[in-house]
Amino acid sequence: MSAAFILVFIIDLGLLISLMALPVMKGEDAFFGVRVSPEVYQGEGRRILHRYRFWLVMTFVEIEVLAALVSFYRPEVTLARMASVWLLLPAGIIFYALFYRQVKTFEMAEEKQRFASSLEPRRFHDHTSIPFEVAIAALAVAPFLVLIYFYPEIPARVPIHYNFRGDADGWARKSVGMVFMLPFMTVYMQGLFFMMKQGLMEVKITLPAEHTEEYYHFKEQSLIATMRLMDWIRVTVTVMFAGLSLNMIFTTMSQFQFMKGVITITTMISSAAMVTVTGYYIIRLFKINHDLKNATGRVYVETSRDAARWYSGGLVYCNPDDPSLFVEKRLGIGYTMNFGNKRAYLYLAYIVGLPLIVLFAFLNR
Amino acid sequence: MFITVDQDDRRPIYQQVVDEIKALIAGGSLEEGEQLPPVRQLAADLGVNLNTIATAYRELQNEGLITVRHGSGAVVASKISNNTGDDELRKPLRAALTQLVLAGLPKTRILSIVADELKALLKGTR
Repeated sequence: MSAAFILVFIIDLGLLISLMALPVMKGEDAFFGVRVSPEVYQGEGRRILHRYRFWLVMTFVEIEVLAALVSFYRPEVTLARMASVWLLLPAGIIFYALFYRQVKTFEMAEEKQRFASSLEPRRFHDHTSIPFEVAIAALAVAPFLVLIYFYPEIPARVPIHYNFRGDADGWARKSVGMVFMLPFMTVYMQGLFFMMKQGLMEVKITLPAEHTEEYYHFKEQSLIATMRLMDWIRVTVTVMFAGLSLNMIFTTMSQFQFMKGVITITTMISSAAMVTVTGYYIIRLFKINHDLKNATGRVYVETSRDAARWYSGGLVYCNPDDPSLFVEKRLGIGYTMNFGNKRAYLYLAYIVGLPLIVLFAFLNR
Repeated sequence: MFITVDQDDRRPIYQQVVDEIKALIAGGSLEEGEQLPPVRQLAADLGVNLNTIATAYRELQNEGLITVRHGSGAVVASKISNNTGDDELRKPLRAALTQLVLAGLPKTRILSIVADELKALLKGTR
C-alpha cells in the first residue's frame, strides 16, 4: 500500500460522505433541493434517500476495488489510481439528478410567504482587520523578494518535490518559471481570497418575516464563521507556500542548510493546523444551523422568484434579475455564485488562472 | 432594522415599503445621511418587482425624506417630511379615528391607543 493509494482513498471517502449528506444538509427546507413536508421527509423521502445512498456506496465499492486492482497489478500507472475521484464525482452527480426527479414530485405547493430585508450594512471591520491584512500580505510577498535576491546563486538543478522527511525527491532544471512558480502562486492566491471576501461581504441571505431578528442573527454568525475559516486557510496556506518557496534556497545553498528542518516542521504544523481548524469550523457551522432550526424552525428560505432560478436540482444558481454575486447554497452549507451576474465570470477566469500558472511554469522549464 | 411586506395587507406593496421606511426614520432608527439599500437589492430581498421599490423610493423622494442620486443610491435626507399642510396631515388621522369610533371604543380607550402608538413610534419599536 503506497501513501498515494491511501491519500486518494481518503479523498474518495470524503467525497462519498459529502455526496451522501448533500440532500439532507438543509433538512426538509431543501431535500434534494426541494421543499417537502415533514411527513414526506420522514416517510417516502427517507426511502428515496436510502436508495440514493445504496447506489452511491455500491459505486464507491466498485471503484475502490478497481483502483486496488490497478495499484496492485499496475503500480507504475499512478494516474490511473487518481482517476477514481473523477469517476466517483460524475457518478454521484448522475445519481443525484436521477433521485432529484423522484423527490421533485413531492414538492410542497407554494404557500404565501413573507420576507424581510435588513437595512443594516455589513461592516468590514467585523470580518477583518488592517494589521492582519498587512501581515499576511507581507508574508506572501517576502519569499518572492528573497528569491529574486538569491536567484543568481541558485544552482542549475532545483528541487520541485519533497518526500515526507522533507528531502527533495524530484528535480528540474532551473528556470524563472520553476523558481518563481510557488511564490507567484502564493501572491496570486491572496488576490483570490481577497475577491472571495469582497464578494461574501455582500452575500444575499433571504430573510423570513417571522423570527426575522433571530434568523438574521444566526445567518450573520454563519457568515462570520465562514470568513474566519477562510482567514485560517489563508494563513496556513500562505505559511506553507512561503516555507516551500524558500525551501528552494534552503536545500540547494550550503549556508542555509540549518533551515531545512525548520521548513519541514513548519509545513507539517501548518497542514495539521489547517485540517484541525477546518474541522472545528465545519462543526461550528453545523451547530449554528442546528440552533437556527431550534430558534426559528427554518434553516433556509427563498422567494419564489429565486426558487425558479436554481438548476440541476439546486446545485447551480443563475438569476440575471438578482444583483447579488454570492447567495446562500440551496444544498449544503456555505455560499455559491450567481452565474446570472457577469462578475461571476471574472471570478471564474481568475480561478482558471491558477492551473495556467503551473502549466506555464512547466512548459517553460 | 428590517423592512417587511405583507401580501395579505390591503395597502399596495410600494405603500407598505414607504410606510416602513417612514416609521424607521420617525423612530430614529434611520438617521440623516444613512444609506438605504439599492432598489435592485431590496426588490430581490423582498421578492417583489423592481418597479415597486422604485415607486416607493420616488414617493419618499417627493416627500423630501430621501434623496436618490444616480450611482450613489438612496440616502436619508431629512427627518422632516415636506408634507406639512395641516389638512393633509389631519385627513389620515381623521380616517383612522373614524374607524376607532365606529368600532365602538370609548373616548378614553381611543386616546390611550393613540398615546401608546405614538410612544412606540417615537421609541422606534414599531
